[in-house]
Amino acid sequence: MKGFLYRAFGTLDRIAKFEKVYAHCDYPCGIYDPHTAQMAAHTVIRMIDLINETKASGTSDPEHQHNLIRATMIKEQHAEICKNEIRILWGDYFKKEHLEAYPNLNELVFNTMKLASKAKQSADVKAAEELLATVEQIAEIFWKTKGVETKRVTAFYPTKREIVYPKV
Amino acid sequence: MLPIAVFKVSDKSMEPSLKENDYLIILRTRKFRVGDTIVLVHPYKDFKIVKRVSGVSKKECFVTGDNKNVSEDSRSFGAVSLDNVIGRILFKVG
Repeated sequence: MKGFLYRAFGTLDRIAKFEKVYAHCDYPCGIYDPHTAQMAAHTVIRMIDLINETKASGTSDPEHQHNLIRATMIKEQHAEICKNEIRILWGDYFKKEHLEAYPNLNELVFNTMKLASKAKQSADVKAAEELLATVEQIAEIFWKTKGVETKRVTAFYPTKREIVYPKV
Repeated sequence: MLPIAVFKVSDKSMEPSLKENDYLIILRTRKFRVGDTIVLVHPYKDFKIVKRVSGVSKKECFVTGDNKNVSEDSRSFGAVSLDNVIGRILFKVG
């Protein structure tokens, strides 16, 4: 609850429109897009698929071990990219009014962090699919805040899972 | 021109010292000391910024953001002419 003085300034602001001042590290460029987070989630799924395919082959020769390690590393990196991209949207793009309009947004962001960590900790494709589903919901909210309709289509990636695109 | 001006903080990156939507009441002056928080015109972009004074000479000041890991400030754009300075923050309402 803001104090009387703040509310008084708020009233004055509505009348006088006080000039904005930026504390920002860089200029708020307005360039935000949930696509990178979705691509990262798809990559996590793809890497888990490859890990499981390699494991299913039953071979343990150095070439397979090498591929297994690389796929695991990439899975880790892209789970972290996914978290970072969502953190940027949450911290820099989404504003209080967005949270009011979409009250599940905080929970979706929280779940993204947890699911991405889960995807790092295991090769469980269900966790990665849940991560993608959560990121897709955030992507849809993002575009709604811009008044842009979205569509879910099967991505042109080997994952063959959905991806959210803006209808432009 | 009034000696006092009011600005509204438009983003979060001076948190926790300045929060988004805080109102800043500033005194229009070019007299300030190291440690003061000032509002100034960005040296090469068309908007105003709020930064803390890290150094000051007769003609220029060196400003930095509170969050130095991410702040764009005099470490990147150099010392800023005092002509760019709008004023010093007297107090905030937030």
